[in-house]
Amino acid sequence: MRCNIWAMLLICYFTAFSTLATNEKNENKKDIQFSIKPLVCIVKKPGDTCSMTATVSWQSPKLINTCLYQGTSKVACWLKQKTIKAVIKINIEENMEYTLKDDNHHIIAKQLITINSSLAKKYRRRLRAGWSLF
Amino acid sequence: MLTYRQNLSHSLEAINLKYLILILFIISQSAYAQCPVADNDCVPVGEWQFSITLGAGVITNPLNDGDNIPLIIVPNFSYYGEKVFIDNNSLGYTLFENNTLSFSAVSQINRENSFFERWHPNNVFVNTLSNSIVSEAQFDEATDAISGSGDTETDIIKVELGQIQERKWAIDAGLQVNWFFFEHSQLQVKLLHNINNVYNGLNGQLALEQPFVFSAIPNNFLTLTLGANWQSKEQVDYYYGIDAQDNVAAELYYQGKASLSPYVKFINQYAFNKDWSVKVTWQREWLASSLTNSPLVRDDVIDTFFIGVEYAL
Repeated sequence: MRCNIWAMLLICYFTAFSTLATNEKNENKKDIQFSIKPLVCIVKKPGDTCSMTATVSWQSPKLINTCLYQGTSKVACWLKQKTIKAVIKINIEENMEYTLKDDNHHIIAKQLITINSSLAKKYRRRLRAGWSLF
Repeated sequence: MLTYRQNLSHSLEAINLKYLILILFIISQSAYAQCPVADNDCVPVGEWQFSITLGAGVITNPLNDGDNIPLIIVPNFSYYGEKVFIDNNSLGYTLFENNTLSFSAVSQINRENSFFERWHPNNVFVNTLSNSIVSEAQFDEATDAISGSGDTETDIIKVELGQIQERKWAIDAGLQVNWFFFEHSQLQVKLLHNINNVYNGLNGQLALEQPFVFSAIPNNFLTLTLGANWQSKEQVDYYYGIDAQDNVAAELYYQGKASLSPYVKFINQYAFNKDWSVKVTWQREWLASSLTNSPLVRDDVIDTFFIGVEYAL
């Protein structure tokens, strides 16, 4: 009986702790204001590499350590900051997600940079039957 | 008399002007029309498309002593610019295209010589080593037949490849019209003339193509084609005719006539993903009597069968 009480207390402790931790994580996510401008990169034709400078800014209600990632590559890190405004160089060939991660590598904010081409890709019909030798 | 000539000259000028205006009108139209991107036959403008199919198959050879053409590796490539296109052995320039019609000037390698020549460009990617070995043996056999050894009743009524003068490969050029209807169906008509002075005649192709997609197997595409190949008297006579230039008895001389050979073709493609698919194709062409009556021709059909895995590069 005594054993069961201890087991129940242990379960309650872990449940409460994980709920608190999740709430804290969500609070962090909710409170971080993250933006990259511009969000769209214009290239001449589909498949061209997008090269541009963009302004990254984020704000947090408390001091945090965080790093900015382009996909899986680390771009920049900041220690114990509340507000950041920085200019970064962007070179991408396809739509790319930029993420802010905390010390534990949890994503606390993200932004998608999309590529648009000024000349839309054109298509036309094949005029010959597929897979015919003659 | 002078007045008559002047009138005739003016009339001809007027007719020529009409044709010129018509041609300029056709050429000045927008060169292509967009198509549904999801369609199999819709390709991006300005990009090369390459695929390679590895499998097993054969094109039967209807000629006496002709080797069947084995299909092992079949390359497939195409490039469609806004007007120019290259599609396997065909080079074209689209003069006009809208959602339902397309007019193109095309040039392509004529098929017939592939039954006569083992080094034909269309046979580059098949098993050329075994072909050359077989051809050599058959050459000896043909030489024996000419020198008189092994004369049998069948030797007398048929003419084998080794006995006749070499045929040349021909390049044709002409007009191709594609009519797209019910979105995915199309009727293709080609009228081509030989341009490299080989047989100096015409040939035509007619094909009605209908794809089928079954909702139960959405990645499977079945295409049924009904068509016919028309060969002018000059083309039949050049390839299938027998005359004094061929090293055979005068009794075997044959003069070709125009032919119309209908065919049916099935292509089934099942796509595993955007790069890999499996293909099965079967085609049967029923040769016209003006071809089968030639002493060179053994079979009255040409069958094509192939099964293989295709990888889009």
